[in-house]
Amino acid sequence: MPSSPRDAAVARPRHRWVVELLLVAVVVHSVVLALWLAPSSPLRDAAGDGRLASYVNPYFQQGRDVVGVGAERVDVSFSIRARVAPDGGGRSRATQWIDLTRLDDKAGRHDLTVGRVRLIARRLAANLDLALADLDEAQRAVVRGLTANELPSVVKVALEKAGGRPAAVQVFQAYDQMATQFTSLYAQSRWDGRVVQVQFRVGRRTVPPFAERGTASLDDVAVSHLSFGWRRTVRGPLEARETFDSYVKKR
Amino acid sequence: MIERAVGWLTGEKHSTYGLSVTRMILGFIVASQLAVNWPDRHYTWGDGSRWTEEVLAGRGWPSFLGLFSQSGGIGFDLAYLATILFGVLMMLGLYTRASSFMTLLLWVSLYVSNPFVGSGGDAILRMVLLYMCFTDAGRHWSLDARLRGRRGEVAGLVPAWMSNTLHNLATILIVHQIVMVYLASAFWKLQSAVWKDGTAVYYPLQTDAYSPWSDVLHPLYASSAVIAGATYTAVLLQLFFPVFLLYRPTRFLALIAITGMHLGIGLLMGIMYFSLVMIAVDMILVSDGSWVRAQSWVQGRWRAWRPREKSPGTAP
Repeated sequence: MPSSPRDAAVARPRHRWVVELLLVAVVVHSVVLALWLAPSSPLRDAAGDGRLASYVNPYFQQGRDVVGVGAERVDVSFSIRARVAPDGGGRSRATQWIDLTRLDDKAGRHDLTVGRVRLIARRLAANLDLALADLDEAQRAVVRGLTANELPSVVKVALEKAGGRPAAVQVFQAYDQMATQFTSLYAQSRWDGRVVQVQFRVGRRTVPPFAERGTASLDDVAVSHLSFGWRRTVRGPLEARETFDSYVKKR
Repeated sequence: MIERAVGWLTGEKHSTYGLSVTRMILGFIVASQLAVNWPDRHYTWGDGSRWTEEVLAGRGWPSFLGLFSQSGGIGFDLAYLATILFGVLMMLGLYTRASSFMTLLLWVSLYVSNPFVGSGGDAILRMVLLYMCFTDAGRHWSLDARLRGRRGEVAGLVPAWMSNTLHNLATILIVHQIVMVYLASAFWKLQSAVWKDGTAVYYPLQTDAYSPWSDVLHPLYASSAVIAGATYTAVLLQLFFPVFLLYRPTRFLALIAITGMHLGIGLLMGIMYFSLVMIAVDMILVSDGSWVRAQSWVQGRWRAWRPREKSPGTAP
């Protein structure tokens, strides 16, 4: 006869069966997560990236940033400008570029409780950079030549015709449209007048090699800009414009 | 062996003190993160983040997590304040399981509304909160424990063996998550040339994204001894952390070293939030016995200090 609650639970077959089932589920779950986080290996390859992703996403989703691989050596920045027409009418003029990432860095210097808002411009730049890198050279040439009058559907066809993977085109267009919306909202709050067109660019600088640490720093490295053509302004919903107004005006 | 494992799982709840500490720190992190971001909340997660909808659609999050992305104005503010409130309740341990669940639900809803402001800490926080809902994280150092002491134990909805099993399995999953983060990180690093030649830490510290103190600390970052020391320490600590956990003497050293590493990363690289989440979840690894001894020590110090405080007329 069982002498304690533990013995009682273990002794009852139905309880034991439930506990064993839960234990197996936990082991399987743990193995899948371990494989997902692990670097490439024959075991991980056998499980298949797609199969692992279908289990992990979205609830147990965790990327390489979780394991903090962290040897980033490229510094990216996001700059915007606009063509603004006076409110009373007249010809539009292009504004100066403003580097939003630099503004974020300045605000976050020596701050241990940096607001998440400071991440937005840099993340947008990093994702655009990756999306552009996934396109092939012919497609990147199409991107550089884009004008404000070209609709996304036309751009899609042009990019697909230039070659490369259709999935890469889809990802690029998604980030391109987001960047256009973000830039439009920011520009409308930043500059007085009617914002007719907007443009954004991603700046890239690679950290000098370790051997040159005594003589060179990142500030000595020239920024190479990845240019995206002019885009027609997306006005955006009123609530979004008001939110951007209150944020941009206090910067 | 299976017999012993089943007995261990069903008999009693393990790591209850460590979980209580983790609960308190995670509750504090949620509440303080949202308080820090309060001035820019609409721009970060509210109406100002609608431009991210292109990627939101592709993430596969269910619609019940769309609370923040579908509400604006006062509704958004109320949900935001509710998240802070549940974070505080979780920290204090009042209705712990319910407040942990609500914190998880609201925090994930907020997290999914703008994928451009997430961090590695969010994924770990999300998963630990999910597992924590199955644990008895309010067993100690909580208002629930105080109420229980006054009113007595209330019978649970599930039998004790089931409650113990769920608690212990969830605790195993949290520990597994921590160990996997360290191990996987070490394995990734070992595949990279810059980690092997001892220069990896130099690169992020040169970028604007991870160097909020570079103007002050640049000479330190240029020192090859400092860089190599930091690089190899990070890899070795992460690689051998699970091994160090097996023995009590090395466990303490490993926890102190890894907490120091996280504080260093958090302070020097400006990612304090990620570091705090890791420190919080590492607290589960401190044994219940150690927490009890620490509590007795603090109580002893407190008792020794209090009488002196109460007798101002005593001659020195």
